[in-house]
Amino acid sequence: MKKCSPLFCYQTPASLQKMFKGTVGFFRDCTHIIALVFADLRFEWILSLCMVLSLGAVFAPLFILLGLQEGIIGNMLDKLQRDPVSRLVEPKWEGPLDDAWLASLREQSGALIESPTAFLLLDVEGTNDPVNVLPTNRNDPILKENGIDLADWKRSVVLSTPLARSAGKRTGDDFNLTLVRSAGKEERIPLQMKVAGIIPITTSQDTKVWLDTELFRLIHQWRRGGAVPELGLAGGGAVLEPEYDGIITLLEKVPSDAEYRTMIGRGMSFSQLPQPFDLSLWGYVAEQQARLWKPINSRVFEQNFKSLISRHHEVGYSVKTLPYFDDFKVDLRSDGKNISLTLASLLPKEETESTGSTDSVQHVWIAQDEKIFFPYPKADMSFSTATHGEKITIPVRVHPSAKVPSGYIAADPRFAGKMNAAHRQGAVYDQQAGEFRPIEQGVRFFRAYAKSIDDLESLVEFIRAEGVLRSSEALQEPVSRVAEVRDIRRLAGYMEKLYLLILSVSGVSGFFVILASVYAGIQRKRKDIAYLALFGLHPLTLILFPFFKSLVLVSAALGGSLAAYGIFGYWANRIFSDVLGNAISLTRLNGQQVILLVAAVYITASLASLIAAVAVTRIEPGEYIRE
Amino acid sequence: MRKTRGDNTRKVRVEIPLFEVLPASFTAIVGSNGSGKSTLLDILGLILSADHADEFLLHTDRTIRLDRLAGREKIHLRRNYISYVLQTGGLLEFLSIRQNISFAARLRNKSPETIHQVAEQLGIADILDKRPGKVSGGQRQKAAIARALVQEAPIILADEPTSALDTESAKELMATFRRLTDKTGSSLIMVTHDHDLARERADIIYRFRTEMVDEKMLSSILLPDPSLSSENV
Repeated sequence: MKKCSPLFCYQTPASLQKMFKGTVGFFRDCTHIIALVFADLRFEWILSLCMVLSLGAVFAPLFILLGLQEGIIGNMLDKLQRDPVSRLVEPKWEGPLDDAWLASLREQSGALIESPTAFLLLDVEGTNDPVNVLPTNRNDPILKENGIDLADWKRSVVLSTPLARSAGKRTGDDFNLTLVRSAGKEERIPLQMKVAGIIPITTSQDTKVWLDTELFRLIHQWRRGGAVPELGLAGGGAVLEPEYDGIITLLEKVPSDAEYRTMIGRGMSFSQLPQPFDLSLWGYVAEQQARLWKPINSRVFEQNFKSLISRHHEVGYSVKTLPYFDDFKVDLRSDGKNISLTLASLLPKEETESTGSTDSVQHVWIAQDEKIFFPYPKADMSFSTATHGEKITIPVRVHPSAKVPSGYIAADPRFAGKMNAAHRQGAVYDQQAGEFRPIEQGVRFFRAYAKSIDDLESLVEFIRAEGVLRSSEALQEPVSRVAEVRDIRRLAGYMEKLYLLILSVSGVSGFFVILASVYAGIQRKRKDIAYLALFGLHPLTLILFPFFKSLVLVSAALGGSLAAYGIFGYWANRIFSDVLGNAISLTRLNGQQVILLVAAVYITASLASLIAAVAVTRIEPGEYIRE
Repeated sequence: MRKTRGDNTRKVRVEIPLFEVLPASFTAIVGSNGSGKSTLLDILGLILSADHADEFLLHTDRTIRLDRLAGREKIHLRRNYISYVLQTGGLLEFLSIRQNISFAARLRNKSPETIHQVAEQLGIADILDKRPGKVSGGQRQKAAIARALVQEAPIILADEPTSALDTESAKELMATFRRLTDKTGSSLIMVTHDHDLARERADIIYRFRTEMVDEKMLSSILLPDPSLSSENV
């Protein structure tokens, strides 16, 4: 008996007993129904098998397509994840870095290589041209991934495969580096190193050398004229070496693009074809065609001029070179008058050498019409440094020149290169020596590795934000594979959507296949169902007969589909083993994905079966028992 | 009790003024085809409801008004009180005859141990492991009878259970059926068109008297048959 009040409602023990008996009875009937289901499936085994095959034909492609999608995209993402270069982010700019920002960068990075400059150009054995030397350390994923350990940082060197091939070196071999500096006189110091490892061609296709960051810093310090007691190297009156932003070549006849590509392919500091450059303002004759070579994310040193001339000679061209500077503003001031001009060194050599002056004062040339407004023979030339925004002032003698266009100022190419280096790195001008003395540099460049490809985008954004504050638009975007990672992720997203679309279509098809087959089964079995109703089985229990039968068929079809997926994966991997290798599988499904897909199939099948099975309740036993 | 069945072309109005079945008795209902025998059996089997009933009672330890039962209660009674023997046997095709019988017994929580004994008495012991589709119509009817007996239901509704047998075999089967129901104490209600068979074994016979009311309507009234032989009473 049931008694209810607004707050409480309880049942008497007798009612509970009845409910318990009812529940037990229902479960006992379920066991009877399950036994009947299996007996019926056995009896109609050919029909059951056909049904399993038809359902399997709907389910199996779902597993195979999901496996392929996960396999193809997963392999691409895995490859990116495994390849440390995919996680590498390098700024295009270089400059002093704020300690707090650097600490934040360290926190965000999986590994960080810090250095005073992006690279050094050093003479090494195995090639006639100077090669790029990059800093590295034990935590550098490029080394870790390839099992390379810089046990002795002072003597260890890591080579790229092209360099190791051209030098004929293997891990453990001796390898010679030559340190060169020219502070007044040229000094060449050979360093005998040991090859600690070779970076595979898949990671770096260029001719490169990696040195420990500490050794790299010391060499950089020496190159700038400092003493390095750790390597037993004395100081040499530290001065800045000229640095340029590009090289302009002057040719009677311009090589074809194919010839230019051949030159680039033979190795030099430029990786893109030169662009036409207009020198007409500077009075160069029209027969001489100018081309501008600009490196990507790099600087140009004096050695690069030599190698560019050599490459032209190799393909049969004679070439003259001129230095190129990006927009470099300098101020001329004298007697309270100030004009702002753009630095260029495009005057012919004979013009800049014609001063006949022997003192240490530098000479500059401005346009003749400029001279009208600025008639002073002596002036102070100043420019700001990127380091701390400080200005360097240099006393100069000002000459008029018919060949200098208005708005420009010309200087000796080598001195202009040093100015450019001072402009970038910061320096103190030694007027007596006519040289720029380097100032102590901290970390000015870095290579950061994201912790994983998932963190790449945020790391790139963090570095880009700093680039926006400190460099021109062209240099703001750091060098990374974020676009490639994004593309693969986008592709993964598209494939996922495509798969979901296929899954939806298959789901709807599967739903109707199951619905129709269960309904047809009920119509076919209505006499048997009528007999069961006659036995006193409740209609809700009778629903379970077609429902369980359908689920058993679906389960068998799912088992078959998984087997088909396994067989497909095995054969696909065998067929594509040449492309994939043995370690990579074309198809891939983890347990969670299988469970999710199986659950989705069961939910769809259960729903379809249940809806169709409701037809059982409409069977009137009296109508069918006498059929 | 009244029930009208049929479609627009032909209808049968079945009327049952008085129909009484005693415990452990054999009640036969005879009538021509379409007179409403099966309709009555379905009403008694609680798979069909009467259009109107003044009284439709089942006396167990209490009196149950069958015409006022909810669906769930009807299912409960059908399961625990009634066994059906159909003209076609009413066996599940996908089970063997043994499985058909034991399944029905288990549903009623009866032990299927007596299957072989009952099958022996009905002469179907050798076909117990065959499927219904593989045996004759008569054997199927015997299997259906065996199933009803093993269930030990208080009421057995038999719809022309000997229709697939010749006269002698039918007589013999009815004798065995009667003997076994006497043993179980079940009340046997059988519809048949074989008046002789009914007269030979039934305790009481009811007959449908039919007459055309109009072109489309047949009236069929169930009345006790006065021709019942006294020795069976």
